[in-house]
This record gives sequence, C-alpha cells and structure tokens, in this order.
Amino acid sequence: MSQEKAEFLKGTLDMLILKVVAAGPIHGYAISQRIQQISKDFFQVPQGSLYPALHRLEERGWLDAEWKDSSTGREAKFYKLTRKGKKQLEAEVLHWEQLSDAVSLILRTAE
Amino acid sequence: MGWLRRLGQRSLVDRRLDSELHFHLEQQIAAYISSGISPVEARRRANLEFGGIERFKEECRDVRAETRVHEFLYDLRYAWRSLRKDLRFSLLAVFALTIGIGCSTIIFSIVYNGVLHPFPYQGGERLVALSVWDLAKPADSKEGKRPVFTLPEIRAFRERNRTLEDVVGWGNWYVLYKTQEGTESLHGCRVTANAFEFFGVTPLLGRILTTEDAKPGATPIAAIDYKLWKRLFHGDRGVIGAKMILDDTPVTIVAVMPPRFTPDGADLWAPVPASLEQADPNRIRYDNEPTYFFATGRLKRGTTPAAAGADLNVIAKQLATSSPDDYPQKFSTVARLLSDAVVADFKAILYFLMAAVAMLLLISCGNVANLLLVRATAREREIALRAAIGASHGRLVRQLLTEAFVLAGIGCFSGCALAYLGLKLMLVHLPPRIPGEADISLNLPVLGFAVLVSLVTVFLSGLSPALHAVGGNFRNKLTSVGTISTSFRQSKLRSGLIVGEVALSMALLVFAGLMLRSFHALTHVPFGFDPSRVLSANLSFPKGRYTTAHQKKAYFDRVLPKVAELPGVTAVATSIMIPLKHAAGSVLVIQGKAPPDPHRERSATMLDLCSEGIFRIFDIELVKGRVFTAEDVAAARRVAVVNQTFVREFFASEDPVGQRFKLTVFDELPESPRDAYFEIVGVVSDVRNRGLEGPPFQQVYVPYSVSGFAHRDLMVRTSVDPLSVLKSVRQQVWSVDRDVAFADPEGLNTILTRVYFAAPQFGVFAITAFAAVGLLLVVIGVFGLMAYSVSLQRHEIGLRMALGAT
Repeated sequence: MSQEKAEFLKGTLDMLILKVVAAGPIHGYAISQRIQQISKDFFQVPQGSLYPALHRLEERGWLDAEWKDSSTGREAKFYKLTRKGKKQLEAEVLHWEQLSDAVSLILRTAE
Repeated sequence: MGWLRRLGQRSLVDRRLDSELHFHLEQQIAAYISSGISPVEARRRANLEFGGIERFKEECRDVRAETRVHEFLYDLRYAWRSLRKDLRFSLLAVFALTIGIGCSTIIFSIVYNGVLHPFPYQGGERLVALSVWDLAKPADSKEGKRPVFTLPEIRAFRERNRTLEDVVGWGNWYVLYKTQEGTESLHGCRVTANAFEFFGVTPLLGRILTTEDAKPGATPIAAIDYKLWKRLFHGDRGVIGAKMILDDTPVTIVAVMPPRFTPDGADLWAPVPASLEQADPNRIRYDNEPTYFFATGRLKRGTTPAAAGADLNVIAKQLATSSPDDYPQKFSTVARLLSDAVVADFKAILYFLMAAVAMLLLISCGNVANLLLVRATAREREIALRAAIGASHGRLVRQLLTEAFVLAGIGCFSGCALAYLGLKLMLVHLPPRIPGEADISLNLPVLGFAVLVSLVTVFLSGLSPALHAVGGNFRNKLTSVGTISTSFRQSKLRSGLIVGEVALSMALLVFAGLMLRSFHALTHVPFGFDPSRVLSANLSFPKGRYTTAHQKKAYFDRVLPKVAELPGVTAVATSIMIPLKHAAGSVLVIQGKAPPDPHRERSATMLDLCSEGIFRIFDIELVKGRVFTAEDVAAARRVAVVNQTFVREFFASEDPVGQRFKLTVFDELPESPRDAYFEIVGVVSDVRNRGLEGPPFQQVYVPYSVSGFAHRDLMVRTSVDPLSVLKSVRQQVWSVDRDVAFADPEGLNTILTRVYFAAPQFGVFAITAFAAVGLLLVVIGVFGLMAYSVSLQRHEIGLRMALGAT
C-alpha cells in the first residue's frame, strides 16, 4: 500500500465502516471482505487495522456489538449501527459529497 | 457506562477480543483453503494480510476507556510503592503540601464563611445597610454618616422603593430582667413586623413573629436568642409560652432562634409595638424604646447597591423637603452590602493574609516541584529505559503526574486535618469584626477549595519536572554510568525555584515585620491614662426609681463607699461615659461671648457627669486650678473642670478659671437644672476620649449630683486584674439594691482590644505564623534538596576523594 493511500484511508475508514454496517448486523471479517469487494481492492490495508477502528466506533457509541452464531456455526461478534451512528453516517456522507463535489468542480473548471 | 462494567471483567474482555481477531483469521484461512491453496500457505497468507495480531490487539485495547482507568490504577499502585520506598522524599513533600494546603484552606474558610457568606438569612449576599451621608463631611468619617432612621422614614423607603425586595428596621431596646441574684440588662431588639419573614430563618422552637403580633392590643411577645436560652433556661424545650418579666411587663416567649440567627447581636427580638409605630418621631421620649432604627434592605436580584442608593435617594430627597432638620444640606443615601459594612477594615487584613497564604502555597509548590525534579533526575535511567521499551512521552508524563497526584492526595487529606486544628486555634483569636452569624468551619465549599488547591498544586509542582524528565536525549541518559547527569547541576529550573522560594519567604518576613511594627506603634499611642487596671460597668435603674438628682446621689452615697472598701480597689467613681463605648455631649454657651453657631454639631462638647473619683480613675493630671471635691459633689455645686482642648477651643488667650458657661442640653432634659451656669474651677490634661484615631475632643466634667437624668456607669480602678474584683463589685452593687442592673462589666483594656487591637492583632498573629512557617519550609526545602542531591552524587564524590580532592 502506498503512503498516500494510507493517509487517504485514515480519514475515510470510519465512514466506510459505518456505511457497510448500515446494511445490517455484520461481523468484522465480512466488513473487510465487503470493503475490498466493493472498492475493487482499491483499499488494500492490513486487515487487522479494521479492528481498532471498529472498537473506537463502538466506544463512541456509533456501533453496537453482539455475540451470536455466524453462518459457519461459530460464535462471532456482529456489529450494528446505533441511532447515534446513523446520524454520524448521514453527516459524514453529506460532508463527503460536498467535498467531492467541490473538488471535482475545481478539477473540471480550473484548466 | 459500559467501560465500568467491563472494568470488572478484564480477562473476559481480553478473551473476547482474542476470539474476534482469530475468527477473522480462520475465516480467511478457510476461504483460501477452499480456493485450493494448501493449509500452510493459506495460514501464511492470511497472517500476512492481517498484519501483527498482537499490535492490533494493543490498539483495540487503547481505544477502550477502561484501559485508561487500568493504567491509572497501575500508576497509582506504582506511585504509592515508590513513594513508600523513598520515605524521606515523601515526608518532605507531604509536609510542604500539608502546610501549603492547610494554611490556604484556613484563610479561605475565614474569607468564604466570614466575609463572603456570613449570613444565614434569605438572600444573605444581597442584604444592604442604609445610611444618609452628609456630603460636606469626608467620605470615610463616621460623623458624616447617619445609619438610623425614624419609623416613618423606613415605612416610606419600604413602600416607595423600586430596587429592594423589602426593608426592615431594628432598634436597640435595653430591658431589665430579674434573676435570682440581682437584675440584668438584656439587649432587646425592636424589629418591624415584617422582620422575621424578611430574614426567612426557621426558629429552633416555636413560631416566627408575624404582622399580627404588632397590631394594637396584641399580647407582648418575643423570640429569644439561642445563647440566652442556654444561659437563662438551660436549654429547656418547654420555654415556649413561658413569660419573662421585662421591665415589669410580662412578655411571652414564642420562639427560640437557632445559634446562627443573631441580628444586632441581641438577646431577644420583639415587634415594634403599635404605640411606637404611631408615636411622633420628632418628640424626644425618655423611655427605653428606640426612637431611631437601623434599616436593612434586600436588593432585588440583579440590582447593585449603587442603584438602590440612587433609588432611595429620590425618596430621601422628598422626605427632606418635609422635615429639613433631619437631613444635612447636601446628602446622599447609601446602600452598602451588609457583609462590607460589618467586616469593613478587617477585610483588608484578610485579603492581605490571602496574599500571604498564596505565597506560602507557592513556596510549598516550589518545594515539592524541586523535590520531584531531583527525584526525576535521579530516575533518568529508569525513565529512559521505559521510553526505550515503548512507553510514549504522554504515558511517561502521566505516570510522573500520578506520583504528584498521590502526593497531593495525601497532602490534601493532612492539609484538611491541619486546617481543622488551625481553625480551632484561629477562631479564638478572630476579631469581633466577623459577624456573629458566620459559621467558620470546614464545610463543603471549603473542602472543595482544598481539593482544588491540591489539584492546582499537582500541576504547578508536578508538570514541569515531568516534562523536564522526559525531555532530552534518552540515549545519553541510558549510557551515562551510575551518576546523575551534568544537566542536574546546571538546571536553571531548579535554581530558579530555590531563588523564587527564598524571595517569597523574604517577602513574607518583611510583611510580618512591617505589620508587627505598625501594630507596635498602634498599641503605643499615648492614651492619656492607663487603661489596664480599670473596670467599667453600666448601671441601669428600674423604671420610675432613682429618677431625681437627690435619689441618684443617695444611691451612689451608699454604693461608692461599699465598692471602695473592697480589697484590690484603689478608686471608684460614677460617670456617664466609658471611653470608646458611649459618651454624651452638649452645646455650650459661654457667658459674655457670642452664642454658638447653630450649624455646629449638637454634641459640640463632651460632657461627663461624674463623682470626684473620676480624676483618680483616669489618672488625669491637673494643669491649672483645682479639680472638684467630694464637698462640691455633695452640695451639687455648679462647678466644672475642663480639658486642655477645651481651653484651646474657647479661651485661646484668656484665663479659663473663673469663667462661666451653660450646657444647653440641661434645658431639654428632665430632672436637670434649667438655665444653669457652671464655673470653671480647673483645667486637666486631655484623655483620648474619641479613641485612637482622632485628636481628643473638648470635654467638661461636672458633679454628677446636679442632674438626675440618664443611666450611670460605675468605674473602678484596681491594683489587681480588674476582672478578679468583678464578682465582689457586683455583689456590693446588688447588696444596696437588687433591682439595679449591673450590665456589661468590662475592663477598659478589653474594650480597647475589641475596638482597635483585635483585628490587627489577628493579622499580626497570622502573618507571623505564616512567615515563620514559610521560612521553615524554605529551610527544610533547601536542606532536603542538598541532602538528597549529595546522596545522589555519593559515587562521584567518592571518586573525587579517591583522586585526592579535599
């Protein structure tokens, strides 16, 4: 992973996680798979770095966690979005869209 | 509060984290295997992609709040252990903290409970005392101030103001009360009917006084003071409904007030009777009911005393147009916060002491900071090692601060203990300027202050050594062998602290010296007489008895010789003034001279009605002529002795002896000679009859037997401690007539101390103690620092000696 990509990821990982979890209760491995899959392997980070982020979001009350049986029959930790997390996600998505609109506008017109 | 729950089940949390991460790995391995990769290769790849599992576990733990708490608890335990290991250091530091925190807590308690929040009354911080200031007089003088009002004035203020929630009036009302041995004079206080609702204090027993109690025809009732209840009724709870005979009138006790309810410092409170409410305030009355009342108001929320003063001034201007005699030509009405008015000049001393304890606190912070600094220097290697194996700067600073925190915790605890003992000691010396309502103790706000001070101390004394310790190059510190680094000796911080400490303690000592000097000067103001061996008491006569000059003369003819015979008594006299306590005065008309300027004060000359013994009591020097004699008194001759200031004022170039003057006050008073001229027979030296600040006032002494008016005082000069003869003097007075009250017996020295010396004495006492303690702290601090650093350099010193150093 290049240095720029890592820096870029740091700020957006929280939003990506929230977005993925918003679809319904999901465990850590599945989250990492989803992110890689959707982004077409753009985000190639050490998979372990997902976990401190998950725990941080849980500590902030944006995610709620529960232990239950996974599809393989083993117990796994499933995360789901809290009401606070939902609000945060909306705010971050809005912020991101504004930012990306502005950036793309500049890129298109600043020639 | 999930973290609190998780705090208790740490191993479970760790296991869960472990299984969460392993679940991920195993899923990944399973996915690789199912895509046809060999199990060994699958595990290798999965591990590679995941990254270091232990590292992420650590990061996960770090984001959890309970981890901080665990770390803190570890640090606490570690700090406690290392402080116990280094007992000498710990004791020095705790000692310094105890002194700093304890002393500042003591002074804070006095300021907070005695000055800022002394009154337990409803809206106590908003109570204001009202007065009228004569603008022609200097702002600070007592003479230019009229703090009392008539009832109609108070009523007008109450009804027409827009800035006060309510106004009450209260006036002194001295009443006689018979006990088994004799008669006492109780300090009653007549209050307007709204007073008890105004103060909003629940009685200890009984009910509050209401407006019903002041209606015409209501039975006389009173609420009594806690101390009086304990003294006269021994705390009997059945006292409610009992009757006290006050001045021959039965008064029903309806309430016992709690100890902190002491308006006016009175023994009992009773409503202003309806008769007084309707009386003409301009007619002088001669009963013991008050004519003038002090007025206290409570500001509306958000109103300043200045705004209230301006508001009341408008009302006072209207009152002045209808009764111009009661107001100066130019005046202003002033509302002054009660706590300001009561504590007055003592506040300056208290703020001075606050500055002193702040310095003391800084000294102890400096002490502790220095000790921590030396200790941190000694632990440089330990800290470097910790940094080397992965502790972050923040983590190290936290750990070092935790040590300071533990020290401050212990210091806070022992400081509070010191403050508790110190307050007990201080309360004995506390001057009477602090209102009686104040409850100076270690209450919640004060304890909060102690904790706050401790926290500030932690940061002041702990932070810079901690930052100092983790700064710099760790590699050098790791490789230096067993000695403390050269940075120790060159530390500017360390020497700066020592210099600062010594400077502060010098400043404290200089303050103490200055205060001692001015106190010494104050106590050595020549007084005109020796006050140390004089006992004074007020004699109050029962209603309708001893009213004429003859009756008074007959009474004192029996009392004075009886008291004079007592062992230890060298002189005895009757008088109507007690220096610094009360005095009388009159306008003077000198025969053959122009009548006095009507704009001068009424009490232009001080007047004492006394027996011939007074000149021996005060040890007054005869300057010219003679003093009057027992025969003059017996014959009630109209002779007078004047003081030197009197001569300077009225007879600058003439011989005063043989001149005659008239005291106009006698023309108005009952039982007094009308249009009587007194002949000056002698001139005596001045006595400080107005206290220590001002120059003496012109004064005349005339035989007490010329008038039957007024209460009289008894003055006794003794060859022993005046209080030791108190009991026998009282016995003698009561042996003549049990119905005469023997009130407020006090040595003149006691009065002098109370009025002038108590406040500065307290200041001197406190600042001397603080300065001494400050010096002690510095000495111990420097000594401890030297001893500690020498012990750290033992290795180096040994080496130098081995190499031949002497």
